[in-house]
Amino acid sequence: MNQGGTAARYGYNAATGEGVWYVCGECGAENKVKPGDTIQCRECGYRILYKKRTRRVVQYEAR
Amino acid sequence: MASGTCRPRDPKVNILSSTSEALNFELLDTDLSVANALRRVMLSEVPTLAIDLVEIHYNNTVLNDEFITHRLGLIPILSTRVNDFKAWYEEDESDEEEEIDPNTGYPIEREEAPTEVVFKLNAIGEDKGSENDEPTLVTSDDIELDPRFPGIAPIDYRQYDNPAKRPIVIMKLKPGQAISLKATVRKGIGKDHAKWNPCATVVFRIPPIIHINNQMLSKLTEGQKEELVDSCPTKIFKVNPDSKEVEVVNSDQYTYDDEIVRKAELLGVSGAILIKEKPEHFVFTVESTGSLPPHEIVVGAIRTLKKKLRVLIKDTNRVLSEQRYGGGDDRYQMNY
Repeated sequence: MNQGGTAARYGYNAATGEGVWYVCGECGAENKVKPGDTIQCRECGYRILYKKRTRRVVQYEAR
Repeated sequence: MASGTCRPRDPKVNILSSTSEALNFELLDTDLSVANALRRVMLSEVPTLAIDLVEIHYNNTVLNDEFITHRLGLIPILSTRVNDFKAWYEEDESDEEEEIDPNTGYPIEREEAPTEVVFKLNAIGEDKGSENDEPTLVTSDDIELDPRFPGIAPIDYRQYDNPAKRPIVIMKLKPGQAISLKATVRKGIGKDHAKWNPCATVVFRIPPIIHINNQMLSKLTEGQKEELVDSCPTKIFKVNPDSKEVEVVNSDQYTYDDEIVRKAELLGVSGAILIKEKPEHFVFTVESTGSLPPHEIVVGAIRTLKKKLRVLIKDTNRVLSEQRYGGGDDRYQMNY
């Protein structure tokens, strides 16, 4: 899954340490999570976060 | 016919009934193995078209990508032009003899058969107002066809004037939900995946020959005759109210359960009813999914069977000739 520059925009980039956006399972707020961060919503404190869907095109076999 | 013998024969087909969805026919003067081969090839080796690869560009609907993809794969695609296409399992036709143009003397360039058709599907959940919370239906009619192949479409595509033909529902959208995808249609066979199977049901049955010895049955009382007739789980016998004789009403419903034969034995008239299978007679029912008309399924199956036999003839001839001249590949050498 080496897509060069696109990986930085959508996923975690180790070089910049930017973190990844997650959605809170309780209030729906978006949270940026970096390595080592606690998994917790900054708005409501809920501990279940969902990863966002990729913005890449995905391909499936209809089988 | 003695078993184990081989004699040339001339199988016959009588069409009993035919609609766009189902075909009934009799196959006569051939073996059970041939009838069953035909049935099996109809189910698994008649090529059709189906969606095989889906590229999802956007999807925020309640159904996940894999689920939508699977549903799309199962939509029957009108496949009457399937023979214009080439499947992955088909060899390149370049090893066939080239046709020479008599005017120029050069071989005629053959166009490569296409392998893929690309459908698109884009749909957005409409906001129908606060009063109406009906979801937006996404159906096979919302699929955009490939402009290169306008004839390749899901079955009953956009037949708005025919209320009997309803499109196939793929999913339902709430306002704000949207789907955008590209679906690749390919040629394939049912053996590879059931979505390429053109048949809903294929069955054949062998009609029974029923002998009733009413002279023997005359020993029974009327009550016993009723008991005998009722013993058959499919109601195909009856007692004639006038002659009091046992008659066959509907023999093609018979399931070969032998219940009535055993009942006759119990009543002390064993052999009064004899049932056997009619030899070399098969009654077929072929139902289509809509991707191919039923008669084309039968013809396609026969074409596939012939192709298989041609391969067998070619290979046995090669093996035999290599044996005869001692040359060729050692793999085919036989030791006597």
